Amino acid sequence: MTWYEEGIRVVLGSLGLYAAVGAVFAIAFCLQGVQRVDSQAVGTGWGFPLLIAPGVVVFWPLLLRRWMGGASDPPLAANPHRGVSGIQDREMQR
Amino acid sequence: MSVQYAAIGWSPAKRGYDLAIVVGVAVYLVLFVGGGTLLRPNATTETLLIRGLGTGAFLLLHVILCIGPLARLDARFLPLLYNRRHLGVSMFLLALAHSVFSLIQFHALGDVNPLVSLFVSNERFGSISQFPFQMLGFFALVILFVMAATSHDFWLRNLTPMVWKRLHMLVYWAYALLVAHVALGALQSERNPVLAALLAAGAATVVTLHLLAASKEARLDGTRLAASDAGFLDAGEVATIPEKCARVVSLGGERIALFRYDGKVSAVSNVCQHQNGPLGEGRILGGCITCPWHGYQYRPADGASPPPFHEKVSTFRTRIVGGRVLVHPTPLPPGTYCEPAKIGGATVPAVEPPPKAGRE
Ligand code: HEM
Ligand code: FES
Repeated sequence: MTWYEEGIRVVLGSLGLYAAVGAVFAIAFCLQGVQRVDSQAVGTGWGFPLLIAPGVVVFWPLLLRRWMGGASDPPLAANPHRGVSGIQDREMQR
Repeated sequence: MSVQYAAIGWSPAKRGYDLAIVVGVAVYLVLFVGGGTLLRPNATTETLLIRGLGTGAFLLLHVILCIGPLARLDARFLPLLYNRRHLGVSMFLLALAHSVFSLIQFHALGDVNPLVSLFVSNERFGSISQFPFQMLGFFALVILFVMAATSHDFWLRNLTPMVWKRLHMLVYWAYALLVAHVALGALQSERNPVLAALLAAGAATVVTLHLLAASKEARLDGTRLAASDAGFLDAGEVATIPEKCARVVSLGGERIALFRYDGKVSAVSNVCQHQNGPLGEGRILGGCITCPWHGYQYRPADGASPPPFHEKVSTFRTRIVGGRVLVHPTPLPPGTYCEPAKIGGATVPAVEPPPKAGRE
């Protein structure tokens, strides 16, 4: 096996592992976690968690951190106007 | 702007669009495979299906990329913009089917994992006619997947609009990869010049529309407002703002929408908190500024969405002196009430508003 082929196997294997962990996480997140990190996700039907599941497999480290951090809503984005007016993201939640 | 996510925010218009997408795609595939069988009797159905799915996805991608600039150039295209999300997901599903069938057809025969085979079966990176163009398709597919997977509003909110927007700008990389995927793949074995001409015409259309829309924006950002007293800037005659509509001005590259309504003028940031839509191209409906893209609403005087919604945009102080609108360039914190400037009597007639922009 060439070093190139070896490299491809390692990269694809790692990505597969990452996605496998993400898939397991996605089950727990879609059943439970999503309602903890985003108040707008409370009490939706089953269609919504199903639709976001593929993205959870990709972005699971971010969502895991939010879930563990106990935030009840995502941070609001800053934009230039907000920056100039000196408003912090968190204050914007209300 | 719901306080609770729905799987899909259905409306009769959306169902209509989705039906059009499904019927359009089905007709295209039938015509492609049927026509291909007649024109090239020795092509297998599998090959025709792979090519039909690939070209179908690529065509849809062109439509998707053109809708953005078209809507900026002409408001009549706005309704198409609302449904771009479903168009994008449909395009991804077609591209996925094309990729999976290709992998099965060309890479699943040996005992090597098809994905590994995709990368190792051809390493002629230095060649043009033999280039492993399938890899380019694979990278494009990865981008299209991430975009489709994050198309729900949940992702817009949880990744934050700025990150989400950056992520979805990757579509231009996907497009470039796919142009190369076709140019180094199908074009190399194709004797008929029609395919090359179509590819060039498609790319020219996408590029031209983007340049036209960009030059329209640049003209707006290039105009500087004259200074008035107390730090206020002169934003032009109030009479030229149509009633219940806005004029957009640019202050140091930042856009502000000056709305005229009920004999008053209020100024807010032009950037919608949903997906950075252009608020100044919306109008006042039911007393609220209504974003032309997906209908988020903000009260003109304080830039806040009416309860139970939480979105807020920055407001700006305004004055009216001698029939001209003056605006202070320093934004107030989002959601801050700011006394609207009174136009003063019925002395200043408004110009006719433009034709009603479409809403979802
Ligand atoms: C793993 C990913 C992919 C693989 C393995 C793959 C493979 C192939 C193959 C084998 C062909 C046939 C070339 C020929 O007939 O000479 C092809 C053509 C094509 N592919 Fe892909 N592809 C992939 C991803 C994509 C994606 C994501 C798109 C998105 C639109 C796409 C669009 C096209 C187009 C437009 C053609 C030209 C069709 C034709 O006229 O033959 N491909 N691809
Ligand atoms: S951008 Fe979606 S409503 Fe304004």
